[in-house]
Amino acid sequence: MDHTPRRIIGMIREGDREHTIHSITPWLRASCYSCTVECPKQIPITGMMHALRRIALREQSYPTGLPVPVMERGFVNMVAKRGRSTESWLAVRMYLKTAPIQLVKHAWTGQRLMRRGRMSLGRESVRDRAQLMKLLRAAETPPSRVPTSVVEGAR
Amino acid sequence: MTRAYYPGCSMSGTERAYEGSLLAVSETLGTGLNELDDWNCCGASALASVDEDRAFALGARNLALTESRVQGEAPVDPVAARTGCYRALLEAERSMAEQQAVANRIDGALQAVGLRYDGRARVRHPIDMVVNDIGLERISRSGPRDPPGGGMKTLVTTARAAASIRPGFKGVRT
Repeated sequence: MDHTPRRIIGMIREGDREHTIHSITPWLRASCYSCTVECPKQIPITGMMHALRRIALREQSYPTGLPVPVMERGFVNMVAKRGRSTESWLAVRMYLKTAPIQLVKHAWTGQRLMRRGRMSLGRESVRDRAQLMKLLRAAETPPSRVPTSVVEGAR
Repeated sequence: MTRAYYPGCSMSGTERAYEGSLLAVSETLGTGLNELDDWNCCGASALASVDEDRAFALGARNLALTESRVQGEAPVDPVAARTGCYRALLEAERSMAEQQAVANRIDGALQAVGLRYDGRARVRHPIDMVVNDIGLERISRSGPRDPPGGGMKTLVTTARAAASIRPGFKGVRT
């Protein structure tokens, strides 16, 4: 993490937009919600980090070289097309795009998971994929109305 | 009480042990959990990081499918096994309940594909169901004697993933 969450909030309040949206911090947080629950001021920190990710993706200012944005994009594309995610394909795709050598390293684990029936290469999907894609298209937020309210609220 | 089991994408994969325990315990306790037909991914935290409305739409489709199981006004509870799914579905449910603008947008998207959500489906977590619907007393009295596949101990240890026991989360009062 280049900036702690406390510092990120300070940067937003000071209007340091440039450094805030280029920070790698939102991409390293686990979305475990501990901070949101513990915060004595009830600041929705997890929601804030998600909002920062949305802004960074929109403005293409997310950090390169980190696996998280790559995996997130792969996950979103997979779910948008098939309605379900398949862990094995997601992992393979992420490693191919970020660190192919890891595939070799983890091949043994993958094989063991498969032997135990905990991983398979069969791709999951909902029955009517066209319906799901139509639903997501209908719900998609147009660029003109991008919700940045959480970040604005912190100011 | 009508329930539907929402497995999510990893229950038949890496979380197989959890699914085995959950279903074994459910059967012993007679919770009537059976899989929601044609469920879709909840979007996890990744979709919320890209587009909130699309994440809510994914959640809303599952809620609408759950409701279509029971006609009329009766509530019906989708039980989301994985903490991430539980949280994502709950966020969709709450955002629609609390923000009229969100509800209108998502209702419109559902309508475009012939689905409808009335607000009868209330997302539950297995621990919530076990503690608040069935009750610890009944479990200790007649509880499962570790059915094959793991049983209560495995269910409780795997279900208690970090984020599920947050006090702010509706219904989970453990």
